Amino acid sequence: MHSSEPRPPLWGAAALVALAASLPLGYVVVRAAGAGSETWSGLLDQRVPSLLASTVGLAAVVCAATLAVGGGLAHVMVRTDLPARRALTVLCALPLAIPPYVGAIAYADVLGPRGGLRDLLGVEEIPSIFGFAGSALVLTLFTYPYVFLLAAAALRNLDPSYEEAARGLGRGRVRAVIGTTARLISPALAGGALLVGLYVLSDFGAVSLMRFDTFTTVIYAELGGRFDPPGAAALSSVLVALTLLFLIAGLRVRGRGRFEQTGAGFRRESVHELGRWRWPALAAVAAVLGLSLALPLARLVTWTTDALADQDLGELAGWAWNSLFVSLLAAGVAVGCALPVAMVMARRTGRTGVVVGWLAQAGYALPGVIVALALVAIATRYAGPLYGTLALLVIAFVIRFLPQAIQGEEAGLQQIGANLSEAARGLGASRAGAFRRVVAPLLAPSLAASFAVVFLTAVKELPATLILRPLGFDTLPVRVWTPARDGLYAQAGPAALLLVVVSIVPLYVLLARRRGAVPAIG
Amino acid sequence: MSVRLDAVGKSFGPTRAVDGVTLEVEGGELFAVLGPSGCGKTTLLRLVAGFERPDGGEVTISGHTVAGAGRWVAPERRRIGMVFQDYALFPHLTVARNVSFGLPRRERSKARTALELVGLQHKSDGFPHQLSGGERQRVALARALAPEPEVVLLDEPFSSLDATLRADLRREVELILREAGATALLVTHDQEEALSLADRLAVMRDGRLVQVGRPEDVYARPADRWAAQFVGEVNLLSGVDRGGGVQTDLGTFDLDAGGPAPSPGAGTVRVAVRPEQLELRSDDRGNAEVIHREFRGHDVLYRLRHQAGRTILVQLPSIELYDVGQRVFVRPVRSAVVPIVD
Repeated sequence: MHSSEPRPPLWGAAALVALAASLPLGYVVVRAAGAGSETWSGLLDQRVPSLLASTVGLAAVVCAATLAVGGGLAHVMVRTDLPARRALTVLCALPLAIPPYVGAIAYADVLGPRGGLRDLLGVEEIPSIFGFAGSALVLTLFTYPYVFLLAAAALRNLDPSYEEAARGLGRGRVRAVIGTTARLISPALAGGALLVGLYVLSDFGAVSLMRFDTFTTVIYAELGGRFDPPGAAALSSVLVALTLLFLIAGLRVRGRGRFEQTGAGFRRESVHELGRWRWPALAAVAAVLGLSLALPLARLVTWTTDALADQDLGELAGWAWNSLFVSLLAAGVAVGCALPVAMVMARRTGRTGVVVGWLAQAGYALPGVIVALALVAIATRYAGPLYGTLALLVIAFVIRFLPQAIQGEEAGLQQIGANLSEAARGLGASRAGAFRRVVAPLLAPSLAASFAVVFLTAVKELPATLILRPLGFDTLPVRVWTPARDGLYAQAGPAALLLVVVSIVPLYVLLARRRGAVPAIG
Repeated sequence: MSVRLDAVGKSFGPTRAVDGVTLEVEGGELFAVLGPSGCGKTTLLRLVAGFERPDGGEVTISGHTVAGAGRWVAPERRRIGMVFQDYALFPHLTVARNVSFGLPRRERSKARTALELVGLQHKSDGFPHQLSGGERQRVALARALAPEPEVVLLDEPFSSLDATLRADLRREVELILREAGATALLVTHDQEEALSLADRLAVMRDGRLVQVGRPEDVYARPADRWAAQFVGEVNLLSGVDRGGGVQTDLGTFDLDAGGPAPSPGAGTVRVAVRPEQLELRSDDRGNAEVIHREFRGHDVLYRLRHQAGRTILVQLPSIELYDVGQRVFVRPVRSAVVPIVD
């Protein structure tokens, strides 16, 4: 079905948003090209190889681990007769409400050199958690829900007769599951791993607290302590290139494995009886939930009850208010800016629409550190008064999280289709009238979900906030990271717990709205 | 209350979806455009509705040019009523609100009249997802009719209904449209639908109109071989023109005087013989053998192998049946008048 072309004002708005969203990317590219051969050869000789190894290695290990944990949990929750699996399914998604850097402080404390595990074992010293192992552990425990949610949704939608056919053809149960089912849901697994990988490449908080150097931490250091903008820009361009490569590879894997399901939409529940594997399976699920929910939450709660007497509650409320204010504002602006882009994309109007869509989603390839770095540079050079204002922070959030809003809204518009607004116009409604009376009410749930996703990720955002926040503007993430950076984990407790509580609300909205809806990267 | 298209064309990239179409739908007429999928008939409808802009030509509704000659009237100002293939009912509005969507506030009472016309006044507080397929279709029709449009456009209106429902609804929709005195332009790929419903129809192929006429004329005198085969089943037989009659392997047929004249000098012509213009009689030394029988209840379609090797279709009432393998004699019915086709 062909649809009428978008009118010029819509195109103008979409192009403007795309231009603004791709400014940081443009800055990084221009700056890196102009960095000069000396800067480059120095970086390429010393820093880049080791950073590539550490960053790519971490992303690979975390992807593999989340695929195993998230995929395994999804299979157990959807396709077996595990006791209490409905309640456990909800719990399996909840670690998304715990930012990895909050998880990191709990683990740094418990598994650290003077931590609880050492006391428990009564030994002099335990192997250090800091570095690669700790980063991988923490990132896995708090990002596996991306894989879990997508895989569980795909499994629910999968017709079990494929697996039955494989078994009927002589495959054993394990081979049927791994060979047939895993292959059929491979797009979902790839999609989940893509989100995890993009998160790991962009993560700053968890790795910095685990004292492991990746691109983001080094770029942050170049910008802060050593103050070497050309070096930071050059490193940023390498990280952006890496992210883009990963994004393209991930999208290709996801696309290649996409199968059309033939046959009717009728879906039976197909459940494997666990039998004697029942209790081992339950123990494994309990172990994952214990490590990713119970342990960190228990630690946060004890810290909070200990610190509550000394904690200035008004101060805490102030941080919370700042977090809420800036995140709500960012979510509102992002949802609004995404609308014209999503409308242009939904109408599938050729190459220009695709370019606008890609540029507007440049934030996917831009870790928070880089968005912040680019905005600092652009603002100090071209828009001095903007530097150090809340507006710049909101702009950074919007650029960073615009892709999530665009994708949510575009999916919503696709579902509505062009027919309904044409029907409205055939009945005498103007373009604006058709939008107001038909499209807007039907799009409202998608807008609300996009708002919740952006809010959820913005409220947890750390590096851009650290770099761009106005003087004295403390948010919950900042008050978690700052004391934790100096090893004062207990002090971070109350802010961290409050942050988790604040994150649960939008997460619950999203999970309740549609089982399997995934709040994308943050 | 009329629609006119004058040399209207529309391309999508290199594809000429609609290629110089000229046609006129008169006031109160039920007009069908019949063609296979991809022939451009839906684009034709969307050009009238204003959802597409023509590359050339002119569209006129009730004497007002709405597209072409430098004029463009937006779809919402064309006073059309469109019934979409998937009905496009607004899922967030009740049946009553759907039907009153196109009415100004003070004329909301017309929605009730329209719902009564389609016999669904008792469903007015329901939502579209609570209705059956046939009910949705009638709501879509009521919604299109309520604002009293100049013309009602129907895009494959029966294609998403199952076969048993289709015939009933076809009758019902026709009655509703006639009662409303509406001018209607309907596009369909279903020849039975077009033949039974329309006052006149146009046969469309590859963006062009092949033939325009009353259903009985299009059926009896197809413009060409393709039209003959697309509109119903047909046997294309070659024969020799003997002045007023054509002699074929199956016997001599009277030639339709209204059809195209045989090209002078060419003794051999091709005629289109409908399956019901042949008859059978059981005969052990007959000229054909029954190879397939399709029993349709009130009639039967036989597929025969003629002794000359060709396959012949014969349709007979199901009073007397012939078996597969049976030897028969096939010949023209006495009243058969056939057209020459190229």
